[in-house]
Amino acid sequence: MFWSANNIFSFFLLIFQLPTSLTFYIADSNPLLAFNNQVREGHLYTENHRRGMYLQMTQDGRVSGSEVQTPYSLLQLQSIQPGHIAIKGQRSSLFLCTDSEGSLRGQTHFSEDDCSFKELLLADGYTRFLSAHHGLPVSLASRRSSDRQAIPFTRFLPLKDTLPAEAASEHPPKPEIYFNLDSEDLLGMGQNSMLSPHFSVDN
Amino acid sequence: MLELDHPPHHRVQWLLLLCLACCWHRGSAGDGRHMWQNPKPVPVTLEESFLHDTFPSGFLWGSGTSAFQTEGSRDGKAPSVWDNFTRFETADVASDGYARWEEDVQELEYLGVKSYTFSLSWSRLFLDGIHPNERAVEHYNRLINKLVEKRIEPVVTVHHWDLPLVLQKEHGGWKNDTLIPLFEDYAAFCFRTFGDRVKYWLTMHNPYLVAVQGYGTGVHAPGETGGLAGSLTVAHNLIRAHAKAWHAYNTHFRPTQRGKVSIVLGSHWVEPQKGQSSAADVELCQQSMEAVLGWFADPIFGDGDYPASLKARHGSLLPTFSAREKLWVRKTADFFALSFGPNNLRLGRDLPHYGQAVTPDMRSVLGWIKLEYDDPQVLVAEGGWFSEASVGREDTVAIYLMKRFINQVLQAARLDGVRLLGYTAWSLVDGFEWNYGYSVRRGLFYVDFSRSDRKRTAKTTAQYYKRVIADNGFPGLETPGQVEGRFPCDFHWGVADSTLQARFYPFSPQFIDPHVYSWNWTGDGSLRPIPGEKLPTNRSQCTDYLTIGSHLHLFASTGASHYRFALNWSLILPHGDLSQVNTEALRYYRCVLTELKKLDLEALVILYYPTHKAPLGLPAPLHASGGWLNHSTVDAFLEYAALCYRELGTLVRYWITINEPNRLTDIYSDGNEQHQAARHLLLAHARAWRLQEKKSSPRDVASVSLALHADWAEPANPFLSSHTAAAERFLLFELGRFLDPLLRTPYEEKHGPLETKARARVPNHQRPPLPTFTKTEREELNGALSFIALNHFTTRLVSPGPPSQHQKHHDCLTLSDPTWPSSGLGQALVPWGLRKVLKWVTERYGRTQPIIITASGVDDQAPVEDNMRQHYLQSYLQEALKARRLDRVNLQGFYVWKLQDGHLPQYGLFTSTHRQSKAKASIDVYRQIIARGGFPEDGGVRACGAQGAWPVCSPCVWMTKNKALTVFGCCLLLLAVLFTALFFSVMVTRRRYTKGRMRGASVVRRRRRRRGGRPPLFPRRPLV
Repeated sequence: MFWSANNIFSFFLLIFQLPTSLTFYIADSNPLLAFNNQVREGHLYTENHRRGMYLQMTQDGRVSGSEVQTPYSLLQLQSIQPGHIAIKGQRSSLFLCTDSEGSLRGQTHFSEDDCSFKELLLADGYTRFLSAHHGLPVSLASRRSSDRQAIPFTRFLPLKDTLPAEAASEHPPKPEIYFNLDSEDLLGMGQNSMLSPHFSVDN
Repeated sequence: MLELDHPPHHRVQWLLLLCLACCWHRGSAGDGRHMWQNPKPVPVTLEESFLHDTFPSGFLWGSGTSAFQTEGSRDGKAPSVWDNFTRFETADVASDGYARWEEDVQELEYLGVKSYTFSLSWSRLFLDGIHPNERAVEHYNRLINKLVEKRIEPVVTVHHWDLPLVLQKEHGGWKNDTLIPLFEDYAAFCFRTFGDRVKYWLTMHNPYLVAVQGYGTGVHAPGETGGLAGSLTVAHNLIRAHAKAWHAYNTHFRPTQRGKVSIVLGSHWVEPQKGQSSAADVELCQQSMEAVLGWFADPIFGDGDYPASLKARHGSLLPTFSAREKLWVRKTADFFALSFGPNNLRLGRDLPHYGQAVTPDMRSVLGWIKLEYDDPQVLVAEGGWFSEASVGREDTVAIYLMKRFINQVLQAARLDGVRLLGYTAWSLVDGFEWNYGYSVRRGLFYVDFSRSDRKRTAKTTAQYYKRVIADNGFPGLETPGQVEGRFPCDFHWGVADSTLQARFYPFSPQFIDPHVYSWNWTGDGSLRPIPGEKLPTNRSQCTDYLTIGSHLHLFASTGASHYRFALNWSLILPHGDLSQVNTEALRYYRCVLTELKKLDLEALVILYYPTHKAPLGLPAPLHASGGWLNHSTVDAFLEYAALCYRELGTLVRYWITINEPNRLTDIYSDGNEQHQAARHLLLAHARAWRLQEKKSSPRDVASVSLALHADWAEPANPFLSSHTAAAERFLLFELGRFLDPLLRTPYEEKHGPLETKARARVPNHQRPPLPTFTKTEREELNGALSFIALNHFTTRLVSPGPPSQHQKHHDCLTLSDPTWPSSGLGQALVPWGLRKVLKWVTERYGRTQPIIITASGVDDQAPVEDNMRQHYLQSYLQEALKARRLDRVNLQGFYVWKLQDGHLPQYGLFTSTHRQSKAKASIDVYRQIIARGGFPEDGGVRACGAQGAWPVCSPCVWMTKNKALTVFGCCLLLLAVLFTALFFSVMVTRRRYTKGRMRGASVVRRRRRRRGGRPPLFPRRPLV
């Protein structure tokens, strides 16, 4: 009896040996797609009982807290080895790095020692980031308090990006054409080189 | 005013602009700002960038000269300030126009012009300053009479810069207002003497240059460096002198002569710096125009006073018009006469551009004049550019400048509603070009200054101008319009990509991390690995590479059926030979192909994708040992190709051996090296092709080709056979060099092999050797091509190169037509070029070989709304259909270059991964064309699956349509089967049970019967 039911089940499977595109696959339903390209993107929210803020990294490399989500608080978390991640500002293109004192800054080049963090998931859904090399937690609190355990603003909640898509970049400025007014070829007709897009663009 | 804040579509913007133009019937000072506040959209289509239309009838097509530049001093002439000013090169003979005026009239007849602008020489007409020179009067009378006889309208300039030297010496020239009555008298003399036949008078030519160059900077005669104050005084006198002359005509001559009088004003044009039209930049642009054109036009065409910005800038230095003078200066011109050319645009630092970009945009100047000066009638009294003296009569570039200038005038007339009177192509013949002497030429007719007869020859611009005049503009071409129809079902709707980056590492650490994690087992509330516990990690499989899934998902969402990508040779074989094979890389590529197959999509795979950077896409050791100059690279490629065929062959039906070998050879500067490389590339391809041929079953044989960069070449100068020959030679070198050895052409069978043919066209002294092959090699090459693969992007103009450019392999220069719309990277959008190149290839190689466009696309900087690419796909695919339908080209595929942007928004259909791989608007356009299978008449979607790839099974189709019902039905069926089975099994068990009991009872009975027929002990139980 059991065997016959199994046979029927396999028959049931056989019905769906159709081309893959016709099966019950729903695109993008894979939970792992969130890890697409090994990069998670979002804002890191931290709070204490008084205030909450987002970690932001401005173009000059300063790391601060912002009350609201800004383009500078949009961060990319990329895993580099099991349990270790790098954090990069989306707008500033800077890596979040720390020194032996535990103070944070953004820098353009990635250094393994200063810019990789251990990602510790906490049971309540928050995450703690510890500098992989220095062992100090990422924190938005001022550095004066010496008691390491008491440092606030070390527990972060990764939140989805709710910023509206940037509208400014939608219309690029009109391309400026340079006219060589002292040339008989005023409109630059001769500046035509036999290049192929296959060779000339960043591939 | 209407605000145009980024309307969604360019065409809408054009329409709005048109409406705006119509609304601007009345303009006033300052309104010119609208020109920058509502900038014209960047043209995307050929129609937007170049207007096919004609001028209103009666448009005054003309050409012109000035007395000093062409006449020479023959037959007696008093010196002018310019005679005194010229040092090394004089205009004593110039073009000898005084003697050869009849030839000039013949030239005008050749052109078919309706007007001729020339200037009267003040110093010739008044030798002593008091009495008119009869001989000169007679000369001008003869000229005017002849023009009238030939129905050419004389447009006469009273004063074109050649002030009699005596007036300069005695009065100090235009610095002194005593010249005003003198000029008035001179002008009145001219009106009186010639006015009965002359209907268009120009009092003076470009007073701005006289004031600034003549009396401010000293670049022009009389060479005074009076600075700003000098210029301002001179300009003031010139304006008043003009007004006097106009009033003289108005009072004394207009009633009888009924002519029109104006003054030629020169101008430049500025656009806001960096294309950003901020309010401050717009203000500076306006001020720049007011400082040059407005300086003279505001008093004469406006309210009789200088522009406010000029007053503010120059303060007390600027002379003032009294209230009476204002009334008397204003409205002293019957039409607007504009000079737009190098004399104003080439002033460099002397031009008040206020940091804005000086732009040769005649249409905008005309639009500005319309807005500022209440829509006057405008005569372009001087238009054109210059050529270097060395150019001679084959002035190709000048044709395109003329084409663009005149088309801008046409656009101003037709789209912006500017009331245009005529256009004067400057100048009729070469002459003395002021401060440039004889180093530049501006004539439509070439003058040989070395000959005493100053022989005139028509330049190619004259031929072009003649054609424009005959057509009265640029009437629309007889294009077949839109062609309707579909591409075949097995057409390759493709998307092309470059080398596919192999990303080996699994997307998430969980696949290589064997630890077991648990929450809170140490008591600190965190997730930690349990020491000592390990799990086996997953067996590696294709789904590990999640990038493949998402990448192919991007591709599949375009609706295309064929994906073109390249393998990375140097990655697969890092040493160049089979000593080390990167199996991981091969596995990655196999995964890509398997996933493609699962999606029911086809792949076109490029084996070798060269780059211009150092190892040229070759494995480093091969490049180090000479690359394609070394024959061993051919063998190495063969090994590599064999490996790829073996490992991936079952999944690939179309291979490209080498991508764009014709661009790769450009890297070698030496002609011999180029041909050596071409030879090896061809052999490598042919041998890789032969590998397929050796396959046992014909079913396994894949189609193999090599992809050529195939831009169309149009002769730059339509009037020169040398250009036509150059374009043909260019195509032969670009395509024939590689295709001829592989395909025996119908052309070749008729005319002999290409080598001799192409070589014959190259001048002897720089004949580059073409690749040569031995007989066996030739046999190896012949026929080694399954289809013709072309990468087409744009069309170029081709002209023969200058003789000094040695070792250039095709001996041609490439140019671009400035009236074509072009992309940010300067790629011209010329849809018809695709059709032409397809036709050329078909005519040369016949229709048996299918042609596939393996890459075609355009860069568009817009992040999402990529109008240019949308138009590109529409128009290029339309031309592809025309090629199939009208030219019967065996076109089998079209691949859009390319799938995704790199760092910058360029060719991608999707933005880069850094920008979330957003779909651009052009994808919808492409998807729609694919869904319809082209451009069908009814616009309906076509279901190709029916006759397509796999055979139909109607139940399958039904099932896919009703998935839920199928599942439900199956469940029911299953349930029914189960129930039936249950029912039967119950029945059977029961029957068996009762039967068993019956059998037991009968046995007892039988036994009893044997014992003696005794009745049973128990009464018989009734059977149910």
